[in-house]
Amino acid sequence: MAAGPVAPIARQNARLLLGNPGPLVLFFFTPLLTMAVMRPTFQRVLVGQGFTNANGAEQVIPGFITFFVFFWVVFIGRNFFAEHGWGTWQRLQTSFASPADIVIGKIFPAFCIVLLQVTLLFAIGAVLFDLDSAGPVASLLIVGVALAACVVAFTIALVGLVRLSVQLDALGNLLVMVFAALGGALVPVALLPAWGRAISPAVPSYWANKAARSVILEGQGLSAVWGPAGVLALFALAFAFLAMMTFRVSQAKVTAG
Amino acid sequence: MSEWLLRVLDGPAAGNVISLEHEVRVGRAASSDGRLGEDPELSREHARFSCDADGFAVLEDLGSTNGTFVNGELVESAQILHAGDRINLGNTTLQLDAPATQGADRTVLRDSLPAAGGEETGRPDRPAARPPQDEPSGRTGPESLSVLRGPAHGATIAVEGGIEFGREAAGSGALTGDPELSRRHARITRTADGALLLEDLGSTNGTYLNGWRIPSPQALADGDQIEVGQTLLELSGVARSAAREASIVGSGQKRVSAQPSSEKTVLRAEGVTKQYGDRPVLTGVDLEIRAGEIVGLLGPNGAGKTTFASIVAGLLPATSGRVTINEIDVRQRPRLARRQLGIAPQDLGIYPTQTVRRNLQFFGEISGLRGRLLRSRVDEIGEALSLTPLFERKAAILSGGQKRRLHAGMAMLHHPAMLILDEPTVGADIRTRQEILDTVRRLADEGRAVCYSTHYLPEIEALGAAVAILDAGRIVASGSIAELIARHSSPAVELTFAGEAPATDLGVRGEITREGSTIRIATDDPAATAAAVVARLGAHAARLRSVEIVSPSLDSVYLTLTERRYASGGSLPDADVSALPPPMGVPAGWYPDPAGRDALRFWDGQSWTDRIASRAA
Repeated sequence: MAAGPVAPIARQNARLLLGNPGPLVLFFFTPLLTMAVMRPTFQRVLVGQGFTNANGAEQVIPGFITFFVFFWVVFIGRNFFAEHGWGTWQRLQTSFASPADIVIGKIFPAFCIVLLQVTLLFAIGAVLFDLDSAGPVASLLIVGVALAACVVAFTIALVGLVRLSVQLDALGNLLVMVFAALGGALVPVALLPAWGRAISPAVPSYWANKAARSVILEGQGLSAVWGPAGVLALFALAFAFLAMMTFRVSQAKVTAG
Repeated sequence: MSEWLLRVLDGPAAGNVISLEHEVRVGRAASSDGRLGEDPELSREHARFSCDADGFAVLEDLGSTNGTFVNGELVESAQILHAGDRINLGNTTLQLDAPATQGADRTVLRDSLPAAGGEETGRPDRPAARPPQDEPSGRTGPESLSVLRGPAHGATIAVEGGIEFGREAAGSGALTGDPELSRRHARITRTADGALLLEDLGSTNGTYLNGWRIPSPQALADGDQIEVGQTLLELSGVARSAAREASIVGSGQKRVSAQPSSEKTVLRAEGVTKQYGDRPVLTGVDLEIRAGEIVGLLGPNGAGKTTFASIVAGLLPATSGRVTINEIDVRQRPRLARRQLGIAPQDLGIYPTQTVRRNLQFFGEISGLRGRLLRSRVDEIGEALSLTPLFERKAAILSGGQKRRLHAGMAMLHHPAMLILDEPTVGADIRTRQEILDTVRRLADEGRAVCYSTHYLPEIEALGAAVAILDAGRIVASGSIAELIARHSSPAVELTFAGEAPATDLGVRGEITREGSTIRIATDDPAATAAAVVARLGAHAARLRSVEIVSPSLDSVYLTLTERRYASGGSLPDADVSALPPPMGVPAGWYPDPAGRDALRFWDGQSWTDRIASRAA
């Protein structure tokens, strides 16, 4: 394969994303802390639902992973705004790189980092909180890949929709909370009000949690994962389509506030 | 489809030309296209050349025993090549020549031949063409050819009335010992007007001028490099011809010389317009910049300079018109065009959270530089712009001038054929400014075309650049500084009064303009005119505050053409000097008087004050 500008841009973006320890702490340690705090509560909820051997990890680990993973949307999105603010976005456009090279170079490391976060949180959470899965947790890796793709595609679509960083912050954080609340990340979907249960399939987190529940609590295998992973992949495609409609490399982004 | 060409410079297959229209594997036993003969140090399939979908020429070593080298650097992975790159495989040397454009003859005509020593032909082991000398046009000297390579290396051959090369040629033209010379290989003849022409005589291996095989007789110029067989010759002592002079063409004006450069047009903008809704920003810009030429693009804020630069860089589409860089259309083949281009936009574009070295390395990497070549280019730019001591410092904590140097350096790493610098010295201190100017001058001397946009007119003079003045979306004047001054400005006397300037008949010839308290008289003899006018002022002489001789300068030309402040005849704008637009972002200090007087005025950081000093002082 010909050496092109994608690899250098991807490496550069990885350095930019990993160069700021603040969000990394937020995205790795805060979920673990939250899991630790919330686990006893969720244990009681799960026992109440009939999973008498549950210790709460079965809900808090996937739940808070799907909650915190969407925080990357604002963080990755802000990276695009930072490039505009630094003037480097314009420089990239005048380089040998095509618009596609630039976008691919920027989202590929983001995808890898999100996938790494999901995998690490799951692994560390499982060890720390003594997760006893009834089914093969390795099958959830497919869900993790689809979820990471979903997060990245959603980020690009959102960045394409907004011009100001404050718009990104407001819309991004609002949707993170909506996804978490409706998707069963904060409380099991079964405990949502009827209207909440009715619309919860409309958010990607729901499908990730559904797959996790099928495997971890209900002991199902790969066959139970394909469906939710497929829906997540469709979400990712829909977001990618929206991104193609809205994202313009030449559109100026303004950091305000 | 454009097509890269590999020319075999030496080795058993010397003289062959390999097209990269399709992937080519080269080696001892490669396919017919890439068979390089019985070179014992070549592997059977040594390396692979290809041209990717975006027009990049790419080289990969195929696990050869002795390795593949680009410009002396070992190829460790797939590597993008640049025009002029020299590739060594075994005992064979190849050189990559720039792609010929569709429909163009592969052996291009003189008008598009690259200059010797420029990037397109920048072969490291060949001496670059000598930098242009500041000598009067028309000077002739004893033309001679220095043998730079081949069996006769070190010899000097007089051209005199002409010379023929070949094994059967008489005298020094025989180049004894060169096995690749045909019986009658090539000749140089002198035309009736004294010009020298190089002609191939149907040789087997061809005759090359500055790296390009010539299809027909070509005019020669000082510094040209000629290859016949294994012999490389460099021509010197040739009179500079008008065609060899740098030129720019603006808005239908004839070409004007500014500085010596090669024939090759690098940037060509034809009828470029840009319109935002009903608002025209560019209304038909024509501009040519040739290899080795610097053109200072001047114009007031809002004149369209940055818009023009953005169109050249492919950031903005032109509403109409066409821009090519090295004959590559920037809209049709933007990636390929950008390979020829280095641009430092007006706004800084650096990664503040990363070190100076990392910033340079990254932009080198996305320009296709790798490995030791990348490191050497980073070191080279660091040295040229005094960034080396700052390499490990985060860009965020650099001073404004240091950031500006880094910003400019990032555009130069890949040795682009065309360099666009949009106000590169804004906010820079004197040292930074000088370093940037020195570097730009050096790059032009190496054969790069430079478009230098600025508000600081002395920089244009320091660079010895040609000038194109952009105003209200079109180029209103172009040429060398001397020509513009001769064409658009003249000496003048300026009288300043307490209160309104009198409407008295001054009894002198010349263009007289009145503006508030000032009378300006354009005249060829300002001293005599001043004496005559003062004598005729009568009672008004009591109100006379100053008499000033105004020497013509680029400043006054610029103001004449853009501000129309001293337009001849008619009424003048009701404004005084202090109301002129200030130079944006400059610190307090003494600067050339914006009114064009041969004087300095004080800028207090916010506005011009009344403090005036003569330049001599």
